[in-house]
Amino acid sequence: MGGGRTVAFVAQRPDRKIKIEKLGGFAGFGVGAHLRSEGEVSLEALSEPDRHQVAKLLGRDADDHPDSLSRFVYRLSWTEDGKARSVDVAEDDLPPSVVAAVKDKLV
Amino acid sequence: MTCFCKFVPDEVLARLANDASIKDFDRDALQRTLVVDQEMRRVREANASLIASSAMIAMSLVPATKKPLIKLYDCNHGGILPGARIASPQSSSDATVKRTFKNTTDVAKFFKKAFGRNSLDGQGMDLLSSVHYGQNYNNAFWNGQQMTYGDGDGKIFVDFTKGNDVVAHELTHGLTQFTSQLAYANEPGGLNESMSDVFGSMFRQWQANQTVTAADWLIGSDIMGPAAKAKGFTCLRDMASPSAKTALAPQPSHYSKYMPGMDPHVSSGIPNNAFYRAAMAVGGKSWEKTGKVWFQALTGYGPAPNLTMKQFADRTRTAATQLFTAQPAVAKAIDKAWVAVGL
Repeated sequence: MGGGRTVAFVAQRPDRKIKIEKLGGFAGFGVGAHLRSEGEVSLEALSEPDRHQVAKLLGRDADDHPDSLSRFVYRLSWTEDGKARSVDVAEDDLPPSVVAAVKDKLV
Repeated sequence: MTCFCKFVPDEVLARLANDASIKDFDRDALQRTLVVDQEMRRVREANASLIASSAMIAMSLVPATKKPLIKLYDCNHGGILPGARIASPQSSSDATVKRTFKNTTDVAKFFKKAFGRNSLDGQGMDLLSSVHYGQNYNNAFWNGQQMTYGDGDGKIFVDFTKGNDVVAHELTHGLTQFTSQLAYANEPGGLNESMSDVFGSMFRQWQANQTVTAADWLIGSDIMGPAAKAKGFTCLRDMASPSAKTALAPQPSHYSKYMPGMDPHVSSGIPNNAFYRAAMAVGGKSWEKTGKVWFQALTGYGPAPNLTMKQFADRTRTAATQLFTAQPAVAKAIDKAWVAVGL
């Protein structure tokens, strides 16, 4: 999926929600662990620069995975044209408003 | 590769030297020029080779002289690295700063004394650490250039600098970066994480001067917060029992459970358990024999970003035989440990 198409998708449906899951880190958040960190943002709730930044991230290739070592990876998931989509991004690439949307918890 | 810039290329000289339309005298001169040029190239190549060799020898001499400086920075709960430089971290009134300075200094000593390694790069590189990173930040990381520590949220985790194994774990990512350069996905990713846990645990044992039987073999036990402890979690990972219910992030301990694409923090349980089994069978202090074998397997073969777990296991088998020729029990114990985890 091209970045331009995703930017258009965001512009057409700014009320769309993006699910966010924080993975990895020294502790190994995510699948198999008793540690989870999840949240959700509505694109329209983000500032214009943050929405633009997220729109660019949504346009990344789903097969691209950040080389993270012990840094966190954020999985952004959304539905487009009835299909589930997701992309993994490095924590430095996300605006702080999106990073702040996830909450760490024990499960 | 060395590049030599020449005004008249060799192929032009050769073509002219064989051109029947040019006088014999001139063609002889061109031929002699070609021979001289080629001889000059050999001299230059020999010179370049000599310079390269000298540089390598000079680099190998650096470890004897350059000691790593331990530098600390305060992010003051922001997210900008490295933050403000702390003038005298060893005497800081901030316990986080003082602790990080001591543990980082000790990790450098551990690598030097136990394995003869001068800092992460073998050349005495300075070790930079930033503390108080972010707000309630539940992580510590090596970003390719420096260490960074969060204070934890005070619930699930406390200050990440409280874990001496955390400090050594992250610095070992730097050691891996400068040696085998293991990738961070699939099997090499699991190995990369495991190396950090193995050397993290060994450092913890080295600081306490513990034998393998006295060691707890837990990763992250000192950074568990009250909410995690209340639920019965005692550590992040347990090298002796990777699937333990008391581990916040349980792992497989047998290669049959490995799946491509598995998170490195999960698949690392397999080589972690192999190290534990080997160290327990060899006995004594982990860094004296088993650790030396692992260190050699990690650092002694040059870059291998796609190394598989089986290939690493075989490296330790070879290294054990080479390093402890007179003690075949070491290689036997290591082989048995890998077989036990399916490798």
